[in-house]
Amino acid sequence: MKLILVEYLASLKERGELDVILPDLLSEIGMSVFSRPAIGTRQYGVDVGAVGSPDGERKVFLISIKPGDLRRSGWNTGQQSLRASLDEIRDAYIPRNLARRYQDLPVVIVLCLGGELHEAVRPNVEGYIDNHTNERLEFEVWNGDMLADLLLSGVLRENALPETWRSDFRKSLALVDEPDASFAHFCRLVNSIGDACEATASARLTAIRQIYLGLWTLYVWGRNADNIEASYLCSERAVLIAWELVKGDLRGKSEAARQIRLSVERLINLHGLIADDYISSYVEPRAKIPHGLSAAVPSRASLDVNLRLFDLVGRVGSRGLWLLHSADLLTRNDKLDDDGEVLLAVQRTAQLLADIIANNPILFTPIKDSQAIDVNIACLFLKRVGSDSVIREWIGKTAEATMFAFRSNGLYPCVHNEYRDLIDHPRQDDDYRVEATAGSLLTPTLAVWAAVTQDAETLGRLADFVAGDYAHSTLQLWYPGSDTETHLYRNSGAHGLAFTEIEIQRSGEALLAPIELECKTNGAFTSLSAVNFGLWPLVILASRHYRVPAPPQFWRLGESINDKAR
Amino acid sequence: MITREGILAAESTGALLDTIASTPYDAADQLAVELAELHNEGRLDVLKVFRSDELPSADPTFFSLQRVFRLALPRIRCRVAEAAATCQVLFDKGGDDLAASLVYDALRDWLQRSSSRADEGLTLVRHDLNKQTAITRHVLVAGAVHEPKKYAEEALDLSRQPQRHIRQDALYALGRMALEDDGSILDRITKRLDEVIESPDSDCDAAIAIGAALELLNRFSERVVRVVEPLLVKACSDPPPITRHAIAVGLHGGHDNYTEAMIDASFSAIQHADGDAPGTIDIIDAILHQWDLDGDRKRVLRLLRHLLRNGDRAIVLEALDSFQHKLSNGPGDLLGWYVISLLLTGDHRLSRAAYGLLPHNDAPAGLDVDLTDFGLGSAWIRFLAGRILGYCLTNRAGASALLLSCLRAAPSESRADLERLVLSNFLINYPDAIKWFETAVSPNDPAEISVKRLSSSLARYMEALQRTGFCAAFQPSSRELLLQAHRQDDLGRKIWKEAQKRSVLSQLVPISVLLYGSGSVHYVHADKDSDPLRREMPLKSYCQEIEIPRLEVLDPVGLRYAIVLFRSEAPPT
Repeated sequence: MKLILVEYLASLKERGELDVILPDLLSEIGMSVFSRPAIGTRQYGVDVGAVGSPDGERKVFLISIKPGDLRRSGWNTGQQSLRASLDEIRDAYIPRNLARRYQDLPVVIVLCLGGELHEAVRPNVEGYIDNHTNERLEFEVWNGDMLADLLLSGVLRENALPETWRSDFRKSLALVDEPDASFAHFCRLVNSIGDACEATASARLTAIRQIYLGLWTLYVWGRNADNIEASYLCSERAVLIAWELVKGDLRGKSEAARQIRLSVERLINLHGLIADDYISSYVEPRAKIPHGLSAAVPSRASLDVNLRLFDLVGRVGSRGLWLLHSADLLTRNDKLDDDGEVLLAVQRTAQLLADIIANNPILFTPIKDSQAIDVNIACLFLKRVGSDSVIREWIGKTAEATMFAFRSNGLYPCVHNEYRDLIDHPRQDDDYRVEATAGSLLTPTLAVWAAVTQDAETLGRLADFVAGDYAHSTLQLWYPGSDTETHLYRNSGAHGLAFTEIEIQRSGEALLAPIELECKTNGAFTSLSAVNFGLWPLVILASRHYRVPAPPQFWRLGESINDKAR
Repeated sequence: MITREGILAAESTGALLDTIASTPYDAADQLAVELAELHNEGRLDVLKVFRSDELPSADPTFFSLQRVFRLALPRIRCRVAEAAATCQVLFDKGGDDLAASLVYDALRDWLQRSSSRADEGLTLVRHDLNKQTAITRHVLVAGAVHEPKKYAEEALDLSRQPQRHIRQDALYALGRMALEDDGSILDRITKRLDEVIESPDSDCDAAIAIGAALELLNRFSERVVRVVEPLLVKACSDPPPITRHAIAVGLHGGHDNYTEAMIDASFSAIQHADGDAPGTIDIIDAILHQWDLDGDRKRVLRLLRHLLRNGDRAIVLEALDSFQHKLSNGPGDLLGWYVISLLLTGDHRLSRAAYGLLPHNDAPAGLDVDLTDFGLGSAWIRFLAGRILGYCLTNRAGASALLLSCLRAAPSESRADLERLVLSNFLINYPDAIKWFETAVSPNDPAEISVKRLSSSLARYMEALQRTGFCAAFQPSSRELLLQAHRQDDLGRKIWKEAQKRSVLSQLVPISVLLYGSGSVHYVHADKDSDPLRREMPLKSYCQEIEIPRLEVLDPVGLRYAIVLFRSEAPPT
């Protein structure tokens, strides 16, 4: 276990990685963190500041972080070198920035290394320490080995993480090349942590931190293996399980509530980091190439290409909605700059989605009806960013291809979700086609988006289709119900309400009216804790992850869900 | 070698049929002599033996027995009625096998051996015209060998009788009887046949009459051609299926004696044959197989155009398998001409037939035909390219050659459009096909510039994909891969079974399944006395590869949709 952690720590980058986990690590061993990493704020060499008494005496720990191994160049070359940081701490931070209440305490300057101190630089470091150690100032070197010990004695201590959990954790790491197996083991771990958590806020906080560290380790492991598929799936699951765990602890001004909010935020940010990495590493380089993503699926079966591509569209759409949510928050706080990073990311994601759709025509031909979930998520995002023309073209072509596939008994969307059923689809016996299309979420979804983008031609064709060849199919949408909050984040049971009052007509208004009415009448949506707390993308995340339709209330996203929740 | 005593012993134990059936092929003639002699000596009723209820039906044992009977019959002395009755039993037991009628050939030989037998046969027929008998035609043909005039008169008279079986047998015989070298009887026969064709009592009468007339043409060619020509032309005007069959048979057997008018008339008659007349289609296939497909292209194409789209019962190309095989394995330019001609019709069935003509795996040299003779403008070339993509896409080699023809013929103003079409619908599916294009174009080839541009565009497309490559994170799960592998295995097994079912080889030879080894060993027994010869046979493997279009994986519905769109394009107006 320790070896795993040592390797994990050595792989962490300084910014946004090692400096993010360290405060949790310190908190878990009883130290109080008073300074956290911040971008743009001058920190005079201190990445993390904490106070505590790990060896009995209360001391201030000023930590300067260097990722990986420390070599000569990292020690004293340039302004970002460790030596420069230590000088800044001594010259500027301690005399001027250390809070008055800590000024009488002994100070320990910590050289925190993700990896090892190289022999070539050891004499220099030790000489520096000898020269500057005095009664009030000590130095310590925390290398990867030491940090791993901190992890094991703290957040991952034996009694907090029984052997069975460690076994799942190790397996999830060992199997990152087999994402489904890795994901299964990680889910068992996360579920175990959630199930075994004591009914106190601090226990739940510890649980979230354990999940967070576990996810981090898995992500780093996957990143090294150049396969973060499992990390992506696990990050979604981790966020959802964590939310279920602490959704009742978030309100209020207590330190525990603040810490929990912070931990949830960090977990969501980690999911964002993994999603961004996934998209920028795997999706973006191929998105502008004709068939680039389709041809990247290592399979000779079109089914595999189809499933992967719709999955990708859902992921990119979901990420886009998270970015929009961030933009909404920044707008609300008047912090959104017109050329700000978030807006750029939104625009880049929208363009990325448009490129993916344009260059991978298999995205016009869903094979599972439930792929309507991914189509819907992507369209929700595209609609918010004003890419109506992309939606209109995509939906139009998808509707046309879907109708063609059904009429020609080709690869039309079916109700099956099991891979075993899908590889035999479409069977040629007489009753099969009716059975395989007995219900449909996709058709009304396409119709709604055709109506929203005022594509009367597509809407008309769909109206004729459902009145004729598709008359046997039960068209439906899904709304949250009173039981949705109970099951949404852990997928612990069926929930919500199927809505079948759908009549696809040539008039978009006529189609949308009953849907709008139910949106207004259905109170379960705004009662969802994620919506209520202003974190509506969690619902999208649950929708994508657990394959539950996104509630139609999101179609009114332009009116800002945040406003409604407020 | 079975002895006379052995035959009698077998007869006494009721095992004579088995003994005859198990006689080696080479010994059958001697056995037939022995049987005939025993019959003629009154020691064995051979005819009764072959009329036995224990005679098997239409299997290899039956035809062994029938062969011995046919060899014995000409040597047997008996009444015509007895011989006819035995032949009838053997004919009936022969079922639908074409070899069943051989027994009547033996009867005709037997009748021909003596004029008295034919006379006895004629008396038998005349005795009761209402009695069903199959010997009339044989009696008339055999009798004419001895007394042509008498039997010709008899045949003409019998051809006017109300009893259908008598009348039709007489009409049949009129075409095949020996005639005196006297033009008058031939004139009377052709006149009678003309009467029947003009106002037949039944379709079958007309068919038999035209068959007889064409038989006369085969035998007397120049002497009757002027008489038979109008008769055939008349018969070819909207003939019923049975007459059409007779016309096809006549064309197949005797077109060397036909005038152009007769060939035209026959082709126009047989072009209406459909799936309801598989026998006629088989004859047409045989006609096409022997026809001059190069010199008579337009006539053959016209015939194909009709045959392959005769309403709901139109035949498919596979029904003309001999023709298909001949054309597919013939010169590439000839094949290309037919394929392009069929595609240019814009007809779905004909276009499918065009695809069926293309050999798999390889394009014969010259398939990239020069389209100049077709006189196609840019709209028609674009249309043709669409037809090639719509119907021949899965035949990479064939489609490459045909598309190259289009690229060569395209005027410069429409070249870019055609190149886009070829790139996005063909080369993206078969990137390696560009190598074929590059090899096939010569310096100053009109398609050279297009091939260069296509090569460059394709290289850009492929290079981008190769640069990014597969993504391990997109890999399906192990379980999914396993399920796909199982499915592919199942599919492979199904295809193998289906191929075995359709294999001619598997119907001819017994199958042995060898579980181990890279070869087999067996011993050949040349004869009883010599030592067996040891033979080792190494095992050979074979495989059939089919290249799947890439879009079948990357965008299968889109590929099918594009094919449907290409197929539904209307010809330029």
